[in-house]
Amino acid sequence: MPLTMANPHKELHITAIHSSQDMRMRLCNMGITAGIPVRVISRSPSSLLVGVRDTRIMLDFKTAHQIHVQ
Amino acid sequence: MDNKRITIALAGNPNSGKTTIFNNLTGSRQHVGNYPGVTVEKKEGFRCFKDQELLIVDLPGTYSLTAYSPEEVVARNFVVQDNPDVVVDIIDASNLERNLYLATQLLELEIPMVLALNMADVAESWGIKINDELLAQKLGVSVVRTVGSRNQGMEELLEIAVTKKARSGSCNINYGVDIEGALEKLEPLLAVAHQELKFPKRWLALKLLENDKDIIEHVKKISGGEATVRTAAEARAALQKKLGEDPEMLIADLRYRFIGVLCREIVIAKNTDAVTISDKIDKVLTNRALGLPLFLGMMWLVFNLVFTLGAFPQGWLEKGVELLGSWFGQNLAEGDLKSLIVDGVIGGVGGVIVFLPNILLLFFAIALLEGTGYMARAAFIMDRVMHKVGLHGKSFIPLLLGFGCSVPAIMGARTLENPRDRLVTILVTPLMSCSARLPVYTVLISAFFGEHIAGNVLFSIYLLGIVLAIVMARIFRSVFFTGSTEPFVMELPPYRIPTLRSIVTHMWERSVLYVQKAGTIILAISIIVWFLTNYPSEVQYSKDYEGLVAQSKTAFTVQVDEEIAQPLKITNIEEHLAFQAVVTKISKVEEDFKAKSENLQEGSPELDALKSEKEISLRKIQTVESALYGPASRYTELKGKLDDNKDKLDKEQTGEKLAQSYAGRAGKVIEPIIAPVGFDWKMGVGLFAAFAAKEVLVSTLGTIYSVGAADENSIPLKEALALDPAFNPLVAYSLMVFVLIYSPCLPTIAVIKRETNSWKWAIFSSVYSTMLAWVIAFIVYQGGKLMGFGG
Amino acid sequence: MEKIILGLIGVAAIYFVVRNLWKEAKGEVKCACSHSGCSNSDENKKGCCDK
Repeated sequence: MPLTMANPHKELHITAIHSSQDMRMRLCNMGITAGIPVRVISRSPSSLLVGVRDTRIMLDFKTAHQIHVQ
Repeated sequence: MDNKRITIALAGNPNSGKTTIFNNLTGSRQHVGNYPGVTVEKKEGFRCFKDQELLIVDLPGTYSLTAYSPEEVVARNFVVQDNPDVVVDIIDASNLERNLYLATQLLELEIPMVLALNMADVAESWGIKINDELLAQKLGVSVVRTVGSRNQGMEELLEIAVTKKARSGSCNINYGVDIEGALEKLEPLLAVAHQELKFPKRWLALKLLENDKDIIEHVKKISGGEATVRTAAEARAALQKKLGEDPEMLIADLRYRFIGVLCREIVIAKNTDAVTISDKIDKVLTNRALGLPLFLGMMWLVFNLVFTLGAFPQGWLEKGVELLGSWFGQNLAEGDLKSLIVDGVIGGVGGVIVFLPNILLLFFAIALLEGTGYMARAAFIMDRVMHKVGLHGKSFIPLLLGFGCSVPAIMGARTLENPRDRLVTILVTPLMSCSARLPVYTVLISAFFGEHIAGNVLFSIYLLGIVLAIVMARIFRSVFFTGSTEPFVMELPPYRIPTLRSIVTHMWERSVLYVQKAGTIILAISIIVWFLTNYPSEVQYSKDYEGLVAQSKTAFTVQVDEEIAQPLKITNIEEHLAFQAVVTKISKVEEDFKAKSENLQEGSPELDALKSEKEISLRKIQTVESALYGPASRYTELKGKLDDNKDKLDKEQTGEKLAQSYAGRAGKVIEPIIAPVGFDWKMGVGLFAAFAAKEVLVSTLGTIYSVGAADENSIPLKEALALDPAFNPLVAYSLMVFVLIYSPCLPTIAVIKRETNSWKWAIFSSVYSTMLAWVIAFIVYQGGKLMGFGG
Repeated sequence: MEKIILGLIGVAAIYFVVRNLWKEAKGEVKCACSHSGCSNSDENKKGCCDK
């Protein structure tokens, strides 16, 4: 399911990132790649705050929606 | 002794503490400029260490070394082409994996490197133990533990640089059979490129496989380059087909895998509890329902604190300025020079300097919010609101900085990649009331609003600023710059306890700047305002003031003679010791009463109590001096009337002189424009002078009221304002609203011009905000009058 | 005599203000900030290791 529908505080794994090449590289540079664990810390109608690889990243809703987890 | 300059380049992720370390190494000897051809900031500093001259370059913070942003390109070009003697990669020890992502890329550039394992204290407190020796061994470079916030580890870093012990290290990442095979084929083709561009061949080959636009362009320009690029493109396509994924992603994945293995080896213990604490705090502070109210509550708290805590030291400073003014007033010869010093300088600069405590408290709060990491959360909390106006939460951070000063705030808007978002943010930032306007609010609120609502009034002004910023952002977005919102990704630092050192340093710097500002531009303008309000000094008065004063004096003497002196058969009443003694006693009681009852309400129990006290004291005197009491009482009454009359005439006279001064006349000219919003010419002059710096409004009013003061004693500006009939709470509020909104000060306008590269936007920001100010102040003032608030 | 002192002070003040405004317009902003990104054109004191 997309990250935006994930339950907060549950430890999930990224299965796929359906963004453009540019965005995927940007996310990758920040540490967000397929296969790693991720957890949702907080969310709002317009953005998500997620925890990956020891850090916290804020994503806009649309981008977060393109990240699939399970 | 080797006198050649040694260059140290600092690289690292944003938020890794690089800037702190840079400041530690260079102190205040920094220079900021631009890299040629790009808008990327170039920060350099100098330092002496062991008789060696060091040039320290703070490379832009980057997460990687791709070609996706100019910062990354600048960083990697500098490292390879500008030949720094050593590159220090600053690694956030509490965020190892992601930080090593950049480190491995730097290592692949094959340059002398040192790793600074920064924030080692934070990592330790989280229970993360890192085997730095093993790390040094695995990567082939020295590793130095640093705690930038406590200035620890700096010497070791410099030592390595100066003794040239930095090695080029190696991180031999095996990218797998297929990719390695492609690299092997490409490397020999890149010999010439390596010569020209200085990058290692393996690295160039990797970049070509990654489809790095910048490198591809440069290689094409070299002889034979086109062919090489084509070969690389073919290899790319083949890899994509065989491995089912873009080589760029594959390479990145393999890097992370390498790092993962490395981390497992070097990280000994890991206590994930600490991470969860930060998350727990975030769950509350960024909570969907609680987040915004908490944020507003925090702001409310800050402003109340600034006002109430600041009031105490402010009071002391006021007393000090008063004493200074009185001393000069009594010890200088009468004349213009004395007036210049007492009214112009002390009245003007003194009026501004007393607000230093409030300013310091404000910056303390801002430093605290920033240092703990809460500021970044504000971006998340406000993102919802920002989204509705077409911006990001990311825009909110420059806006928050605007509470301190618009200049760094507008420069902070550089973090917004989208030029449209950046422009809107820049245009709207000055509405976030900067610290220079705080003295204006403070003096007006102290003069016209009671203690219990002071904090709320202040908060209301700041809140109005925030609301207007959001509304105007919306308007700008939909009228001038349309388009969909861009995606964004932003890292939030962990919560931490800021060091006392960093906060105190920040506050000290700000106070120095404030005093400097007061002693330079504000002083200069106060002097000019004094000249403009004091001249012309030969004025045509509407009445013969001197004559009137003399008249009332004569009338007094005659009346006293008739009613008192003759019945008592006293020839010289002024020299009659016994009589004057009684007069003195009575006067003292009356003065005491006046002083104590100043702020009390009619009909209140305290006032009635004081009144009865007064009566009792007067009765006492009467019983003692029964014969002289009656006449003495009458004398006091008449003298009182004489003094009052003289005061009134004096005030009128100086008022007329003031109104006919150059400043007065200039003020009168614009009075018709500002009268509908409730202002008179004095405020007009102040508003105009405040173009140079907002505090100047206070110093200008300080000088004007001082020059216009009828008596010798200097009273604080807030009292003078309260006494001016042109002023009342509604006018004060209208003035505060106007000051909040109207044109930013000249330094800010200059920065807007620089950041937008056009005078058009700079002038626009000044004009639109002044017009907006007038409209809103008009609504406030006229609306207030309709509702009966006017005095 | 007093007039001369006053005159000098006044002229100095005007000169100071005008020069300040001109500098700001040109871009050498009087930095009222201590944040990163401040274009404080500090003179780089080279030769600090004067022997």
